[in-house]
Amino acid sequence: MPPFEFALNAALLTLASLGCAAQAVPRPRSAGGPASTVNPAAPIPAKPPPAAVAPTAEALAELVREPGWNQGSDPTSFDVGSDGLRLLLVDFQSSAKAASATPVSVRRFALFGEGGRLLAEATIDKSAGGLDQVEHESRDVDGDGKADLVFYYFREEQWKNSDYGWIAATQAGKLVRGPLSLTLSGPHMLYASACWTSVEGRPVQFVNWHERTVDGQGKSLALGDRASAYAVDASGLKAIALFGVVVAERSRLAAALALVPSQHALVPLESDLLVPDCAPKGAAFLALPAARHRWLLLTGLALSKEKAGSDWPNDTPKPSHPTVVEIPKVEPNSWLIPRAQK
Amino acid sequence: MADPPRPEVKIDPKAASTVQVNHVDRQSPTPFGTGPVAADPFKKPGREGLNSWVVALIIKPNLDAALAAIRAAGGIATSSGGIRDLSAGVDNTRSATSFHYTGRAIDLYMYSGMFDPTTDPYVVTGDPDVGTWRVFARTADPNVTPSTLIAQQMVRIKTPVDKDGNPIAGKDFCKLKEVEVTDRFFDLTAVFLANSFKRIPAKPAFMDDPKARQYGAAEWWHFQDETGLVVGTTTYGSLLQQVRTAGELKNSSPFAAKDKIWNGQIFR
Repeated sequence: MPPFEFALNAALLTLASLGCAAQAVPRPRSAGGPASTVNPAAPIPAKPPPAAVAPTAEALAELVREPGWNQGSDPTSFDVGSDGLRLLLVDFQSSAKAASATPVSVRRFALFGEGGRLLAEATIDKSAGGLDQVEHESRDVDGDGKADLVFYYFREEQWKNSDYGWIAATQAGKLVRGPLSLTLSGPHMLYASACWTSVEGRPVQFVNWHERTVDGQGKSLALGDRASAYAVDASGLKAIALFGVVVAERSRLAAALALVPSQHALVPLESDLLVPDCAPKGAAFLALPAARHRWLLLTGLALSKEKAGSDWPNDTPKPSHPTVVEIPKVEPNSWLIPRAQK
Repeated sequence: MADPPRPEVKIDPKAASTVQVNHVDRQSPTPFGTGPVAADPFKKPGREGLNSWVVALIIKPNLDAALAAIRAAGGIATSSGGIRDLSAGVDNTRSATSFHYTGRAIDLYMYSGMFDPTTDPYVVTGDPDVGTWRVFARTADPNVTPSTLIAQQMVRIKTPVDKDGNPIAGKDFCKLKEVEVTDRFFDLTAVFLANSFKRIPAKPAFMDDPKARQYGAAEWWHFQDETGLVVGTTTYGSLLQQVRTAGELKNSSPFAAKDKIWNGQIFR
């Protein structure tokens, strides 16, 4: 630890021992704490002490380390906006199993309020000798007009199911998690391609799910696509219904695509890491080839049936027989990250 | 030459008596069980190899010897694991009769080669449409004369589609490009072979479509020890029994293939 950080930590410890910063500095976790994605937190103090010094990333990592885990590697903290929120990203390894078989490694995201108070945390498994990548961007995901910090992660390996998704630290002091891969029953998997857009002024993530399975010979089969959309509200990530317009069967794909004006070019929904904007220069305008039903779904996004198709671009000829359809929702049951409790 | 079949002797600790168990199916010699072998650390942003392999005890001496030779030549040995859990499923990158279930195979860290040939510890050469690789390891040994290799480098595909134009789920698809690299190398494939570890070819999922190769099926990282296996005789089940107890094997998916016979290349 650099002497400067050591001095800061020493000063913090001194303040804590005098009772000055006791409310602001969280205590290390006690033995027997759960190794899950959720941990309790103490009540938030009305105001942190003005003289409190921000703990180092190493000090914060120690606060979210579970019993039996190693010291943690590469702790990195990020400012979330300018309200004193900090997001810690740190990797841990379980020392209990390290000597026997493949060690268990996890990556933990922890959101701290001013003075280093733990607000929420989320944990993802790391690969066993695969690829574990994280990238982040600033983006308003909950529509409050403030930039949140969004981390896109993916784990890729050959021995376990891959795992993709994002975790956003909002300026409202919450962690919100949106998976982009889901394991279904048996060998079925859902992998997503997604993009962010705005519908009726509300930030929305539009997701196209590709369903895949493995046949008896071990060959991967694509079963089809389905779409869904999510918005972040006060309770966390919420699946919402979207409505679109079906304009063509696959055989009419070229003719339908010709309707799309250049400023609404077909957006690639795939990205290595960052989930792009659906249509950064115009209204949301998507074309989705759905393999199973052989439909091309060309849609102006709307949250209600009444508004379906109403945001159709003025300079675009409407199809002759548009049909409003509801895009089926995917109902996740465990995507929300509850507030940490202490 | 393979050892002849021999019965296994087990001690019943409760009865303190010797129990003779005849395994007519067990052609390869003991010892029974698995053990860890330390790998060399490899860590780059987003990429981190494991710190060991767990392998069958019967191949451990060969692996130790191979690793000693690699390190003596100035290379490193990275890991993506050895023995595979019996519950791990199969797909087009994982064979139902993989040597990994038997503890006789190791994977070098699968992202320590073919990723960035100018800095990776390994440079992978060979014809991707044949799928047989020759892997060279980078060395800092100044006594090694620099050489130039034609390396295969993976290029990730953001929007892979199948032959019908339907999107393929997953993000581990790539194309390959050839890159000329000059550095100090030694032949890693030869070192492994000299210590009884053979390479295997890429799986069909890597070779079927040059525009969308599934990286997990490349297999350049895979080396397996076939010592003691007898063509036409050795069964897959006999190898599993060298590393797993009967209780572990009961009802496991890999043990369902116990009667498959080694043909010199695969169990069938």
